[in-house]
Amino acid sequence: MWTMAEKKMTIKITVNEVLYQDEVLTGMTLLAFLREQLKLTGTKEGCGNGQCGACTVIMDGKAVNSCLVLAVQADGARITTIEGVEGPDGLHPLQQAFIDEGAVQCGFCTPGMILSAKALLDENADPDEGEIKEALSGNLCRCTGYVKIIRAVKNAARRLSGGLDHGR
Amino acid sequence: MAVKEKQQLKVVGHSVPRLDADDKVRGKLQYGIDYTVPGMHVGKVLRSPHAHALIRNIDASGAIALPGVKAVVTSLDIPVNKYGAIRDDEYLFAHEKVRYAGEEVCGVVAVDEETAAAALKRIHVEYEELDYVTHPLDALKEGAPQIHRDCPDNVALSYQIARGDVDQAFRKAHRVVSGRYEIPMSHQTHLEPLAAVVEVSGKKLTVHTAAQEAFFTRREIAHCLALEETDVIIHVLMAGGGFGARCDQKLPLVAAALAWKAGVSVKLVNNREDEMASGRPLMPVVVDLELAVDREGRFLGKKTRITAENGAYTSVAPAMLSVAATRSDSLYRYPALFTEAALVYTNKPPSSAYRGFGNQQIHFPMESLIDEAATALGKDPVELRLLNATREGDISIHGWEIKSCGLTQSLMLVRDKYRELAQHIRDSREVGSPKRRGLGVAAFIHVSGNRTTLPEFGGSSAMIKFNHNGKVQVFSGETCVGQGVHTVFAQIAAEVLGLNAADVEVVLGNTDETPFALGCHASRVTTLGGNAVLRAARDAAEKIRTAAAGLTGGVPDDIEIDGGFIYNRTTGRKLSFAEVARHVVLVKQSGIPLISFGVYEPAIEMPDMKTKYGNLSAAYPFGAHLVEVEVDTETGSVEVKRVFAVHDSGKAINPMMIEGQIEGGVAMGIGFTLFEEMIYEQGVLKNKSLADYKIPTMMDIPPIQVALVETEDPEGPFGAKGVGETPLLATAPAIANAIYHATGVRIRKLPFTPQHVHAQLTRENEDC
Repeated sequence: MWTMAEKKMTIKITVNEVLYQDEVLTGMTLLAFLREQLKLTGTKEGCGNGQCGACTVIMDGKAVNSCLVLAVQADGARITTIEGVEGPDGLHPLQQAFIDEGAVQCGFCTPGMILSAKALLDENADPDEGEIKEALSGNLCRCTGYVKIIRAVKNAARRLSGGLDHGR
Repeated sequence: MAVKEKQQLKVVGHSVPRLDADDKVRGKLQYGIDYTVPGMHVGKVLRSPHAHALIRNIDASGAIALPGVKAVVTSLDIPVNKYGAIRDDEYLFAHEKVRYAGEEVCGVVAVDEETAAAALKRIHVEYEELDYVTHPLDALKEGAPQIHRDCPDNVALSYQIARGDVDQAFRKAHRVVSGRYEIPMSHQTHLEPLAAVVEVSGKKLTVHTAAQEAFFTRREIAHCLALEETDVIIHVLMAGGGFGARCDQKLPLVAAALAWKAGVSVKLVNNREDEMASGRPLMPVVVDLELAVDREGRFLGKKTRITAENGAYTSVAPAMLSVAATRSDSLYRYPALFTEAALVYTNKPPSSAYRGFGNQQIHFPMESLIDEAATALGKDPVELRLLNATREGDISIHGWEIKSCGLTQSLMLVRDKYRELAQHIRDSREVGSPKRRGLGVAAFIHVSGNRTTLPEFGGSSAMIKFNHNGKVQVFSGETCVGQGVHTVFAQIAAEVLGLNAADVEVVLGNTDETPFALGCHASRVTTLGGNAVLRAARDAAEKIRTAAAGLTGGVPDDIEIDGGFIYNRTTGRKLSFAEVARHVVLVKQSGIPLISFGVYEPAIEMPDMKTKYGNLSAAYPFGAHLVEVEVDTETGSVEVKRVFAVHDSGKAINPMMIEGQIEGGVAMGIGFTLFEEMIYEQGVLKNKSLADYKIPTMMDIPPIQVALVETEDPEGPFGAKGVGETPLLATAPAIANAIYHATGVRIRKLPFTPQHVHAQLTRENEDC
């Protein structure tokens, strides 16, 4: 008799542009794989069941709660975590905007927020406030009241579309 | 500390971006859950499934036999298992019986997660269930189960406070209004669960954890494990939110016990369910209030009875009860009052520090009742508050010295906004629509630290070190729970030393490296810790000037400090900090760095234990909020449409950060008011997951407009007062008052869920 947790599988997964081939337990979540096996601890665990969004990563272009994805489900996928958001030249406009607009307090929700926002902006370069709220509604924050986070996303959208140029 | 002459401030008062934001946006910052040390084992805790039960037997033999299990720890292994923040009535691991569902019964240390989980399953505990109570009023009834042997009536403490002649006040009164208000248990719900990594090295334990009060946590660990405090090192990590949950937190104590017993390093992390059920939640209250007013609306006197829920053990609820029993009394000029306060044991987790610390528990009733008085008199609720408002220079009914007070200005700003919006409210009414809009106002008072924490010491201290390369480091034992203490301290030091905030490194809360400190609570860190940093910086500036005068000729008064350089006005010489520091440290002091100290001990007093009279805080923040709500009278749903938050926290050291605090606090207040409640069935917490215990999401937050009334407080650094806990004091009463304005229905029990609101609306209609 075997339990699911005991079975192992090899997966190929691209994380932040780097291809990994690794053996995982079939019961392991993508979140646990990133944090414990790849030691990428920027992605956080806040609740373990998809409610808080602190574990958000981008998987094949879509923002997902990595605690709800099994590592084996991510076989063949392209994943972006917070560690992969900054570019070779420095911070991504979203990261810079979060700093400039005061959208970071304790910072625990920040990686998930940035990934959700990035997934939004990658698809919709000029979201209105309603679209921003909807895209980030699965990311809980207890510190900021969300006001400056929304402002930061708008700021980043403007920068990315070439509108705002100062602060880089 | 006098407010500085009105020079142009270069760093303080500016919205400097947070110094720790870079690491956070990159995902580089290590929180407790991320922290690891080599050779680390995993700890897990077995918790009671019952609200109240005798422990007949614990059989851990199956767990101990499991390969990979290093230790199983019960109460028998702990040198001093009994402990407590204020009263020693709690146990590190349950002793003889369990008193709430979720209480720690025993712990395991194993090589990995799977083994630890398997080990827990192999521990068999025999319980004999007992009757339990989950409401303080039930615990007070005849025949209620006795929770603690030495407390037959379940009343952990009770007292009365009397000022003036309250009977006469009520006799003379033109009107008396009264009501019973109820606030249930709710949870801080900080996003990062509690976590600790404890390293064992010889006889020393190093605890890596986010602690709001590092020295207090150290003391408790040392007490329980019979260690010297200096053999326990707390290395404070950044917290993923705290809101009071990391003040009297139990998890680091349990983790330390596991590591100490097993002799190996241990990591212990709560899962979300344990976090919710076994945390230190908000202190529930039932408050009976009566207010006597004269014809003009002047407050003549008030009577208050507070029945507060302690939970199963005494955490810091006595201090919170003190707050609930006194703090709002200094918001207005009361001639007389009588207050009865009782703290009652129940079979629920120990009530503890939750942002506001007992103050929102009294503001909700008081600020609601004041509106009821306004209605009874036919007076405007803002005018009624203005008439009675505390003013600068007052000494309040409890002896509080109000050295700065922006309450009147705050109320006037709120009044203007109210008038601006009144027509919009009238216009919003649609014939045939079940939706009704209303406006509500509430005012508040808070403290900037208070004396009651530790009788001997109510201030803060800081050290500043100039290294031989001229780099400045500030050491403080205060902690940051996410609000940005590093940045505020850096700004204060930078202002005095003529630097940019980013050039100042701030080291917080490592008990081996920093001075003793009381920690992050009572909105004290900016005012008290900031003042210590300010004094240390001034001392540092003096020492630099003296050293520079020595090097460049002349006297210290000739020396100007700016931009990392010193300028001698008389001789014209200019040197960098690095050059000055190198000379002082290496040449003059043979390697000892240039160190300065700053101490701030405010002129406050420990209130009299019996009468509660005494000026207990350095500075008192004030303010008022205006809230617009829309009530759907068909569904009971309440939506907050707009918040106007006016705050007097003295000088805003960093306006952007203060705004962020206020916006966040308002959001938390909305959750607290509209939907948060820990629901117990059969003594067990039902809504343990974030799917069932809902906190506000981005969709729930209305536009929040912040206005700062910057009074010049003579105590605070550059005039700054506390702000951390103030934003959610007014939310619940303002919303309650707005619902009344919208519907004519007064709701006195939180939270205002749709079911509850609808039931109240329907009942009112039936009563008509």
